[in-house]
Amino acid sequence: MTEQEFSRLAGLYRTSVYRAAYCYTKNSADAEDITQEAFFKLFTTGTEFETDEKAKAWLIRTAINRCKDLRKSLRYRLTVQEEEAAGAVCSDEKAEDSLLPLIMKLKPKSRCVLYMYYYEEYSVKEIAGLLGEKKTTVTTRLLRARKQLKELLIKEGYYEL
Amino acid sequence: MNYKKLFKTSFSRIIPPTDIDSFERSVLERTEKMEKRKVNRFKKPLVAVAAAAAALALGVTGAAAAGLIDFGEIFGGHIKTDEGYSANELLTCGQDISWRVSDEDYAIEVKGIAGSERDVLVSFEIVRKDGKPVSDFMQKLPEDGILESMDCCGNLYDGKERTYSIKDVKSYTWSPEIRLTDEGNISVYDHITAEEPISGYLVQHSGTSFYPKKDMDDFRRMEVEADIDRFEERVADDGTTYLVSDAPPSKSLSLDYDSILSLRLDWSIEFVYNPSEASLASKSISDEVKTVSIGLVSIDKETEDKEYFTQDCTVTESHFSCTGGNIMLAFDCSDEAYVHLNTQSGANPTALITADGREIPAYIQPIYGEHDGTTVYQMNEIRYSESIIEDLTVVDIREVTGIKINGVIYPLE
Repeated sequence: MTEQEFSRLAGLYRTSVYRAAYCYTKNSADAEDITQEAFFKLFTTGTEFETDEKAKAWLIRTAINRCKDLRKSLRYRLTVQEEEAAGAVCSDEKAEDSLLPLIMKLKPKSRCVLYMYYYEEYSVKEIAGLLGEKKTTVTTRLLRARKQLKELLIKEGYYEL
Repeated sequence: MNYKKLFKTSFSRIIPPTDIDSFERSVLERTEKMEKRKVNRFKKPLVAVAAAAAALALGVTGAAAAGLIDFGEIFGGHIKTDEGYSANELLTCGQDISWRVSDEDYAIEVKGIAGSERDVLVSFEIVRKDGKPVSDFMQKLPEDGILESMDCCGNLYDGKERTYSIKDVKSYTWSPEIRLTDEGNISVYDHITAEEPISGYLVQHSGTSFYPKKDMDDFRRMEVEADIDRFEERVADDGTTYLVSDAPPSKSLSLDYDSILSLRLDWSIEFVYNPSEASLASKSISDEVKTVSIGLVSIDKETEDKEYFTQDCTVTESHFSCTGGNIMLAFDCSDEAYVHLNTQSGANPTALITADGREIPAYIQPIYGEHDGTTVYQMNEIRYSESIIEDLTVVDIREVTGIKINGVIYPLE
């Protein structure tokens, strides 16, 4: 892959990949690092794609897989979870017209599915392909995430019974 | 505000911390560093092999390929699906098994039990006595003819009350996995791990109320893609909560609720775990082996820069039994960096080596680490599977002669 092609894809999809990674890791530094790793892999392996959309899907899938690896790592267990427990959030999450603070209280997989479904507008089938899960698993996860989010909305007073 | 718009707005607030130019520069710098590192690596001894935790991606085939444990194979066909169970000589356990199902239409077929002194693997199937597939009484999606009930099984299993009781053993965990068999029945595979030995103890595994109606409702909701604000929560007769939407039900699902509700059943399995000699056999890495070459990753605490490298680590403890093992490694770590096992994929997967030369895939997973000055002592779990999420393989550890880590075979005794 040429540097020019790499730059073009980075310009198109870097933010999407970062958001997917952030949804999973809830940590800005890790998300940035994982995004870099995904593009690094794209650049160094020279993988070719028929369409840009397929390249984007590959990048997101690679980033999510790396997120999963990270969560299993010792460093993550020793440090990142502590940051999460301390409620570390970026300032942008706190805007009043944003569900982000509540979304970030959900489990990583739930956050990720919500992001891909509502923001990236992937279908359940496409998300299943990206995550390596069954369609029904994604469907259930999406449903549960929405249910949990609703509970949080009620708890926070955003939603009336 | 429309919820979909609100989701969009919310996620759009996640902004990368660096600008695009810095990002591209960082990736390109990584590429350059990698090239330099490649050159440096070739100058060092013992570097001919890639990262050990490479171990983790197996492409290896062999006797222990991925897939649900074939208990039939393990137990040589000595499987009884009625009142009792007897295993073959390899992994004798689970004698005096009894099971109970309250629903007259359903039965539990115990497919097999195996384990070591701390692990028990149980596999059983929920079947209908009339021989019809359980899935026929669940959900099908007529539009494409694909059976979609497997995840429902998972849901109803998750949703029901279930317990394990291991007499006199204080701390244990279990990880259930639900599958739909080719015959359309519910296959349950459980792995119980106890911190203390469970040999000879009574293990009771019970669950109540397979109650899929809620799941069917949920799936109906999903079919119409109702927004979250159209849901309301209701409480079922059994006290569980479920979501209801005012959206019209999907025509693509034709559900016979009476049939589905008939799947409700209470069940339990009790067995005395009496492991055989083979089950209790264990081996360790030979005392003559002082170090193993293993892939590590160092993460700078300040910059979070990572460096992947291979290092000789001191083996302070190791233990291998028929269902898994562990290995305690000690390695140096500067105060400026975190160092831990490299769990990324690589070219040299870990594997057990048998006397006849077979390779059984294994997976190394860090459990915890302790600092002692500049040395890290890290306990790593070794599972006989392709990855942490794959099924486990039961092996006769007496036939295993070594373990291959990072391309090097270390003898087991």
